[in-house]
Amino acid sequence: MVGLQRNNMEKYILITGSSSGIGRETAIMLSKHSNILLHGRDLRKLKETKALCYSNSKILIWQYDLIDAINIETALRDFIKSNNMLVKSFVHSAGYMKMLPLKMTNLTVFHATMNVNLVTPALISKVLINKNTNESALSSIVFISSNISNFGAKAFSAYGSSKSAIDGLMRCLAIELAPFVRVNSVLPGGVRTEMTEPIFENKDVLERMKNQYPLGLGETLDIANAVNFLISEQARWITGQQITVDGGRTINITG
Amino acid sequence: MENILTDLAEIMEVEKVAESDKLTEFDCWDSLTALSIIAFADENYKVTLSNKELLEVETIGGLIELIKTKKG
Amino acid sequence: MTERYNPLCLAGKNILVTGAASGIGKATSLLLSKLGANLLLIDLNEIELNATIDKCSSNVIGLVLDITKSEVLKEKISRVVAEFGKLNGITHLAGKPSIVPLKTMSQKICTDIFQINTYPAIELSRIFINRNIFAGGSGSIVLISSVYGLVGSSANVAYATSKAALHGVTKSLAIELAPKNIRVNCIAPGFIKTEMMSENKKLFNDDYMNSLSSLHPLGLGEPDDVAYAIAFLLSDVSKWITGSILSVDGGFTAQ
Repeated sequence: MVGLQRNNMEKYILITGSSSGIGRETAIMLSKHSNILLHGRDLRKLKETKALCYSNSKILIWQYDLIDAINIETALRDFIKSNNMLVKSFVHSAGYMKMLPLKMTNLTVFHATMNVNLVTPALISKVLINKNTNESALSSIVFISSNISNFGAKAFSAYGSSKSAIDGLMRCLAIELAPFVRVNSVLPGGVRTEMTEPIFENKDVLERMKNQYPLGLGETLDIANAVNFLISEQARWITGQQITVDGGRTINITG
Repeated sequence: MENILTDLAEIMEVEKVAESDKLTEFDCWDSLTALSIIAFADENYKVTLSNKELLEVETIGGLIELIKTKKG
Repeated sequence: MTERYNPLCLAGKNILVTGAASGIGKATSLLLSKLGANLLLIDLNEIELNATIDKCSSNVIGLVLDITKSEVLKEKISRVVAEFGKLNGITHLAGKPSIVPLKTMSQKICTDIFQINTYPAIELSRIFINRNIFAGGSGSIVLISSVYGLVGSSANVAYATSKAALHGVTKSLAIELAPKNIRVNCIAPGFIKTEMMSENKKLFNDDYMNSLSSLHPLGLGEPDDVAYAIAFLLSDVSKWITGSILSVDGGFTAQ
């Protein structure tokens, strides 16, 4: 009886940070072909995302603050079990960014940054590969990293190191979880979202960005498209890779 | 607000600051320092400053006034 | 993959493919045609080229051409384009492997390899940007290097260098052509199972294939794995990606 029930369980794509920005855009796009498990802190915004998704797909909402890395495994495991569902793909789009010069940073900032950007995606992955919780449903993971991952910039010690870290995690998981789970990262350039708004409201910075980005400014749609490709069967032989989606910013020395 | 002059002196990397001192005339004034002041106001006084506001206040005194006003 | 939702749709796009008659080139031509692209296929082998064209479903013409003859390349392509229509994208798949230990290396061997693997990429790009050839709007150039352009191996210096050079071509041209809205990206394939291998059972025997496979976390690849990545980079869904090198290699370079 239990066996029969398991075969009927719906498969979802879990997208963390889908209350806004890249996460929201990705959720809307992926809902064209899959059921989506939305995640974030703000229930009102998550419901807004749900309303924007395609109605043919089922949409569930998991509200949880990723700063709490202590309880995340239990929370996710319980949510999956009580909703009688499976997760086939995991997109980690939640991000914590505080731009601080080294002299202003502190342990609290590092803890929060690392928990949201590195530790919780690792623990979520751990839960999703557990056969008792998720059978062998998981086949693909995409981490939203950042084009700062392989470079340096001022005031990015916490955020930058967390993004380099998640790409290191990505490669290790790609090797460890092969051949059943593919793991890749998308590295966006600066895209206007709720998280990056403080950067964008500075007109001088905006002007400088337009000059530094060979293809000009991008949009959340560009990132969602790259995630969509990596999640799909068309990318079945791609694993352990960083895909930079930044209009050529990080190969540009001019501007 | 008592220690604010001392705190600001530390951010500006000088011994002392005066209310009439112009922000942009400090040796260490750059985008990173501006960011430090914004972070400081947020962390210590729970006040959000923008880059634009920072350039408008011009002096240390103006900055302190701005923080006081926003703090309410 | 549901038929109704196809983000990689290339309908209306005119694409030039070199090396179209066999291996990855053939798989790419068939896929691009299936995705709706009009194709200008170039290869030296007339019989195989016609066989590929027969299998295509969209508007396709062939050009039997030796792309190492760079002096006549522009004239021949221009003539065909005048009838076929201006191009939106090109992909250079023609290439030759080369296994030569250092002590038998010569400048001629190097030059020969560069003549087919490397220089045509530059020459084709030069032809592509001409206003009688480029359709305008957004353009995409996809070059094919190799994981051997990223890692080292013995008796491979000429081939490896000829492929690694394409990474420089990719980044430089990405910056130079960004103002024209032409993106330039490169795919570095790992070991792909091709007809050449199944025909050459003596070299590619079971033991050898198994050892090759074990180097790849996801096993050996199929020509389609690279073809889909090419389609992704040619299509508008990757409109903010330029100057990138994407390894499609089953995790080979991630370990």
